[in-house]
Amino acid sequence: MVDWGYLGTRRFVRPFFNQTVEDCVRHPAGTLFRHQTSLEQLGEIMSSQPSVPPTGFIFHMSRCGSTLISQMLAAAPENIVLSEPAPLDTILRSHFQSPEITEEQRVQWLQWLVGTWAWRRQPAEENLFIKFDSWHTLFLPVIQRAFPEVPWIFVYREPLEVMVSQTRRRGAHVIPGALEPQLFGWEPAMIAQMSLVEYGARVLAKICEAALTHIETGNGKLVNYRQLPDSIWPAFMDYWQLRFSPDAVARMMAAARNDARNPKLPFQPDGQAKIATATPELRALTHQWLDEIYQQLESERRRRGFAGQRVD
Amino acid sequence: MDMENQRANLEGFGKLVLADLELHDRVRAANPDAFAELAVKLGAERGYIFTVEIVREELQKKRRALREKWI
Repeated sequence: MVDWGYLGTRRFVRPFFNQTVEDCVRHPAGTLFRHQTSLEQLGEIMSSQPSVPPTGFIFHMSRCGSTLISQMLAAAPENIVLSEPAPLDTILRSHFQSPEITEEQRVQWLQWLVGTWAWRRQPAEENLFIKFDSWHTLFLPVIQRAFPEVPWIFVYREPLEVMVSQTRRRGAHVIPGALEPQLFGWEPAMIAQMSLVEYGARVLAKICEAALTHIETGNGKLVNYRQLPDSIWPAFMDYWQLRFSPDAVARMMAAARNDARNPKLPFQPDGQAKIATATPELRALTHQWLDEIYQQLESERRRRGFAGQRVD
Repeated sequence: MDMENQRANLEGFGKLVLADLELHDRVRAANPDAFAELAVKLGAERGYIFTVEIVREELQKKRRALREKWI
């Protein structure tokens, strides 16, 4: 079942998709009066209006600057930017709950859903970006089947900084039981043996490993958090074949000065502060499960990443 | 009029709102605090009779369902 909400001309400028949805349904009319259709009708509905084709995808290991990128893109009126839209997760993981759902169905549903979100509701809209949930990196094969030509990036960061961030405020993906163990190739009994911190480290490692695997075979490039945002932004524009007015560029660069998750606050660098608070257990488990994959990502990035981009 | 009939009338009015863009824009433009009263008035004008209490009850149900969907 597909639940529809009325957006009008509202743009997706909030850090996360669900925030825009909440804004829409906050009004009583948005809560009370909504269309519902079947998923099978979505294709026909999608085709009823022109859509903007997807321009670029953002995958990431979480807490690594991906929201900064999506917020910068959202600052330009030419861009439709969908940040971790929950219905995508519902489709991607639908076969875990309903094994009769085929990959072909999921590919079709992804195309229909994205095509509908990409309806051009404002004349200026020309580009569509999707920032996926971090664990969707493991779904790259089915996403690339649905959208084979779309260039993507995978954003990652010094793993101890990510682990400290996750310890302070855990994302769903690092909580045992929130995601199906078979997504990671694990049996439920394996998870029961892991501590909470170990589980988080191993999930992040799986996400990074998936990115490394698909970078070589797919249409992707690696980005280290430390490259963001100024030095790499022109490279992104070339990679995604984008041309913006000076005003739009100024808006995007101005967005980088805000805290990406709470744009009313200024951005504060926090990498060193995070590392300083890491416990011995956190350091040991991060080293055990993540340091090696991080070095492999760095090596690959230097080999095939954006040319000429310094990392301090 | 009993509650079931009123709920049916509110549902009927809702279908009208979704089919009529001008009516839709009127209800969307309402001050949220005065929405229930406006819905009752506009519904009655079109032959759909229900009370403010029914509107608020249905709103509460749908908000709860939405919250549960996001958990």
